[in-house]
Amino acid sequence: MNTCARVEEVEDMVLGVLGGAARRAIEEHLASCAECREARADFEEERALFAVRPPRASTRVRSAPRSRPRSPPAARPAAG
Amino acid sequence: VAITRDALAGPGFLAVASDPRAEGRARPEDVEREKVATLYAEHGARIHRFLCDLLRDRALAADATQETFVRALRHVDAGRDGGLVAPWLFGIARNVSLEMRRARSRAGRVIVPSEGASGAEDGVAAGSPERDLLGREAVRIVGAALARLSEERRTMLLLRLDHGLAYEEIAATMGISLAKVKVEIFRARAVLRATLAEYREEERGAR
Repeated sequence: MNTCARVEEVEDMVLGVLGGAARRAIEEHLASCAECREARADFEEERALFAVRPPRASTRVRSAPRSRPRSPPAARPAAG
Repeated sequence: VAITRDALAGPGFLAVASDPRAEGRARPEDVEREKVATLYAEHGARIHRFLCDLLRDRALAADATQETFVRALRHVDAGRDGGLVAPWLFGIARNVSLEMRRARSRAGRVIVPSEGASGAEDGVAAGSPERDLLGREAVRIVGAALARLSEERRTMLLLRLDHGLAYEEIAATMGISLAKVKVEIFRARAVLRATLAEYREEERGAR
């Protein structure tokens, strides 16, 4: 696995969950750590694969009610 | 209460709260419902996405999302003072998906994650053509990788890369040790990278 102890912080940076100071600190570290730069590139690529998918893309629409007119979902009575 | 799947397009199943007979009285159920409605507004979409990936069946995922929030309603105050909401909800969702898989396999219909056979066409409506193409490729690659993983690894990979949970949160969701989470996600990512490499190799061959 990883040898640099800060790889997890790098991942958190990519995920956008690091605050200002922590973010600046890890950016500084990235400048001097080749392993973390590589980890960042990998993680960004993998993250993008998931993130670029449409909101509900992972399943096939089996029962698409195409013929039915669309109505506001909240107002629809429970008749199904 | 009879609830249609379509109601899940919005927090429709929570709209039962406005029962006209209860007018003027703040019933405890309504207070609870209000809490879950808030929870649903904030987390409904991601829980549904998570369940779509776990079950790979949109209709089933809609049922599972509903069941997740129904259970959340039951336990919204029980032993959760200041705890993290995401691991709690993802944990319920995962349990629901496991139960649904078991119920299906008992009924003789095993849910097999279908490699490549995903609903990439779902996303065509939004975005530029380039983004749609990228999205379809990503759906294929991610779908193929997830199909190769055990249920446990698949769940952890989704929680980390799709939903951005911290390792500690994933450990809490799964009820396993932090060390094991790290090892399993490391292995799952290796499978993802291998799948991506194979996909690129194929693309090169096709050209």
